[in-house]
Amino acid sequence: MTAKIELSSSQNKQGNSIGPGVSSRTPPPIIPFLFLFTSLLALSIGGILTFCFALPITQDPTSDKVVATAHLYLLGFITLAILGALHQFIPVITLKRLFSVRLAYFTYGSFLIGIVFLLAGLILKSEEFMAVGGLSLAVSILSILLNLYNPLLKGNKSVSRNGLRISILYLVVTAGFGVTFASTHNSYSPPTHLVLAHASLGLIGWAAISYISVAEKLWPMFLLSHANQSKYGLRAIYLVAIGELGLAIGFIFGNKFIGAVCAVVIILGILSHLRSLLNYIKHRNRKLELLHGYIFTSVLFLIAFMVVGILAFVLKIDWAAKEKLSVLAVVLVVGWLASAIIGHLHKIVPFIAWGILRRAGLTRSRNNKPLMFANLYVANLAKLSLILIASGFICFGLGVLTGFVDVIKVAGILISITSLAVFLNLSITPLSLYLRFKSAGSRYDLNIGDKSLEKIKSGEK
Amino acid sequence: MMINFSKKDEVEGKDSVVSNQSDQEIVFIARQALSEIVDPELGMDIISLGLVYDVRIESTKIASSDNGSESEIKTLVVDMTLTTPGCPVSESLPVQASEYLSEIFGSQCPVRVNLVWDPPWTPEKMDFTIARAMGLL
Repeated sequence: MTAKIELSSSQNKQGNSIGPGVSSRTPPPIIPFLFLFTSLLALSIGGILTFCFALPITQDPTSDKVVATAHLYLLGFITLAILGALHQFIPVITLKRLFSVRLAYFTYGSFLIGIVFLLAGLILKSEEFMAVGGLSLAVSILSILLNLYNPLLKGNKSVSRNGLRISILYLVVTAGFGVTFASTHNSYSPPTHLVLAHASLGLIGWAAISYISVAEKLWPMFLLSHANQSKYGLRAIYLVAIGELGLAIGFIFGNKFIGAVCAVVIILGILSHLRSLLNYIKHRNRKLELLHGYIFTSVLFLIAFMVVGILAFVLKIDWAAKEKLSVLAVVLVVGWLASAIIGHLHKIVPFIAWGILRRAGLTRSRNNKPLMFANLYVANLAKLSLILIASGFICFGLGVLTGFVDVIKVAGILISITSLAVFLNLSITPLSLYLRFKSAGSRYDLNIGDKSLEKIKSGEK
Repeated sequence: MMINFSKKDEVEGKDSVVSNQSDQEIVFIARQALSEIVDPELGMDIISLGLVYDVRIESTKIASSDNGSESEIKTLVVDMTLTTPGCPVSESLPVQASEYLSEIFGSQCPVRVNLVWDPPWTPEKMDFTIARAMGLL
């Protein structure tokens, strides 16, 4: 069995130690943290907008306010969270550095400006704001293409790399549609079939393929699963990618047959993704834990999405009912990705924070045991967050289906509170540990276990 | 395939434990030290996890250019594996092991940590009772 791991995993370019667990290829931790924590704040604001716009969500789902809410979920939350993970993991997956760390800051800044102006433009009906937002997002996405595609083109071949190369291209195409819509918003109302193409490209082409690709890297690690099941993951990525291409073409040209065939291909891809998960679980070498609760919950949303998608296609119902099912499908996709992303954040953020704390010299927890990832968040709050976020999106779906405004308002409150709770849970615990450590004036401590260095050196049992 | 993790910059000012202790004692101390390296995800040390396959002393004879006499250099060698290849968390463990052992044994005994994949790690390599208690078996 061959593998490539560099000695420099603990050293930077100059050969200085940057601490265990940190590769010299990965960007500074502030970069993924900026993306990831901002995504949680965006989810919280998304919950507030859901509460505020509950009435138009049930009565006029194509209104600008609802479109603004949808874009906050998809761009502000899902896309920022995925980008945070990609900036951290693409150098790990490909064994190549980002094109530029500064460009990553630029991506973050321009993306944030783009979201703010786009939402302000939609809510305030300002075409100028929307044009600025669209342009800023387009520039940001081009910077993503430059920064992340460099390692993806040159780096190690893997299922994840193949998937991410496809998903980033879908992001660019989605942005192309979006910029066109944003710059002509008041003078030109895009036809529904083009809006559907834009939405499916963003939701399935970008977000879903990105998540499937990242999951193929993370699941074997989190489950200690050694069985080689990359064929299922690869099959899932290619089927969803090809299916989405056909679905978008079907939407654009109004060809229902192509759309139906390609929707089936997408479903086959998603089933292959679920098969991959099943095999990783079957061959796991550790017991199931909190993350898997999040993953299983997300799978339920995904299955519900497929069922609703099939019903919307098959049932002979009026346009209003189809529109309702379409909104429900979007809610379920966001529920799928939100559950999965929040679950993975409870792994990714503590891992990055652990590396920072160790480099600062903090190697032990408050109970004087070696510092663990589990010390960096409150487990019970994480469990509660799972229940609340699942309840939030279940309420959201039920509210859309039944037309009960109050149910959607409850959903908004649950989503907003949960994302804030996750934000605080993942940030305050490591921060308070660090501050206590600093205030105690601790030095770098090599006593990483219960025995002191001197005892070990003297051979004491 | 073996990948070497060796500590390049030895820690200055640390007393060596090599000169006055036997090879067996060094290996014993090294194993004790390695039991202090804990996987931050699983919460178990790398000895209990069964990640350390071998700890030994390798001697190399080097001829001196001055008087032609031979001197012996002892290297502490650790063969270890990871629970999951490619995992950044587990990849930190050999680095920690190398740094920690170098800190303990000082500049007179270089430390080499070999990362090996054959045989691959399985939960069966752990202590059965601990593995069952953790739900790994």
